[in-house]
Amino acid sequence: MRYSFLIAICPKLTCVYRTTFLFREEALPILCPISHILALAIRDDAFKLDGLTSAEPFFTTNLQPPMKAMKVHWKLSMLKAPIFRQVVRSADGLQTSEHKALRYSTFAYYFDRLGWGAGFPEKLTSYCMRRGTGNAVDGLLYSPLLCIYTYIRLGATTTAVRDQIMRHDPNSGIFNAAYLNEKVRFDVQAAFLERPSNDGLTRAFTHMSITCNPCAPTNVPEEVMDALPPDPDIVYLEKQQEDLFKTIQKKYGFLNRAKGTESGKKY
Amino acid sequence: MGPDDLLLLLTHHWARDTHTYPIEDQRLTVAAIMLMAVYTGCRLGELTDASKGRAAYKDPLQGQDDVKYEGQEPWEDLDDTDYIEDDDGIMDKEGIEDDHGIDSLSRRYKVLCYEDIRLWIVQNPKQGERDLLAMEVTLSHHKGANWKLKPCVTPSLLQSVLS
Repeated sequence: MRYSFLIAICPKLTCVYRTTFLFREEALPILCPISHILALAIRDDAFKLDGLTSAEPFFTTNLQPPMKAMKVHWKLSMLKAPIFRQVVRSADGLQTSEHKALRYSTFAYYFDRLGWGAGFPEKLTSYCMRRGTGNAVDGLLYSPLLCIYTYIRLGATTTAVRDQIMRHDPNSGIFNAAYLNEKVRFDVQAAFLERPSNDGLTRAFTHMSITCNPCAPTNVPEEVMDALPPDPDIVYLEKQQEDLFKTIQKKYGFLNRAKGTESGKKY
Repeated sequence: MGPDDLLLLLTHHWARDTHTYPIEDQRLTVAAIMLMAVYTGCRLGELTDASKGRAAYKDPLQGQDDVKYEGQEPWEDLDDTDYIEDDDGIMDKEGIEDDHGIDSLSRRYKVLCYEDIRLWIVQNPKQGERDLLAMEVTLSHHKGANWKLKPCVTPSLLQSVLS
């Protein structure tokens, strides 16, 4: 009987608290996470080995058997330092803090500003990325008939791995409730007609940036604004205001004398 | 948000963006955070400091639909405490080099630190090609990691234990 009590609390105890991700090099430097971290580490001079001031030594190694892999060690003083750090004011002006972690609000400001600049129609928040990852690794949630197709197209994982990546309690259903893309990432039409869908439209339409035109200007240039004819409504209202002012001036002399009167209120 | 969105954002970030950062180092930081976030799906609170209890940052977007990022940048506001060094946060750097010193250091922020990242140089499985770089990143400060275990006892369970 006592065991049933233990079993009841056990699922919570077995919860995974640490998750380790493996990153690899990416051919496109703009997408390569290792290059970015390497650049930050070089800036911080975080390597235990002194004198590593360029990335070149990391790409020119030639390990010989039996050595299969070599770990790059960090300086002891850097181990507890956050990777992403805040800019702070100092006597010499703004500079990166040595230990203060980047504030979430600062990043949110940068990120939203970037989305605005790139022409995203919706406000860009950090959860856009998390949701995107969740939807990309998710795949076997659809009906058995469709899952083979999704699996091949999107290289997705099982539900268990997805929950591990997203650090959700297994079987909690949080993903389905809160993260699943509201735009159905699936060509239901083709599935119903029992034919494969390969027009790429589904993929294009479930992305946020479909209406983005990064080349579009963010502001109306001044010469265009100057060239525009004045708004007829505003011209009419301005005329009315001018007329009223003249009437008040005739009747009372000054504006403040017309306070409380009908025409004064109207003005 | 998918791969195309990410590529568009990053290209804009590096090539077209006309906004400035307080120092341009931050441009690299922002790009790195974006990559870490999309490749791990972590919450931003694991990479950046989202703790509360300090003067709230005035969000210039609040209550505005059509925002223009042309006014004062947040770091130009001298009252914004986010851009002031935390004095209590300065790590005691003395005695770090001895064997015991490292244990006495504590992490000030629950964010990704250098010790969470292990960089490896790995021999290429393909013979004759250059060695590859690999990186392991351990995330441990996710939402809920600090929640205490609360055994919940339902009446029926209590009854079965007592009987």
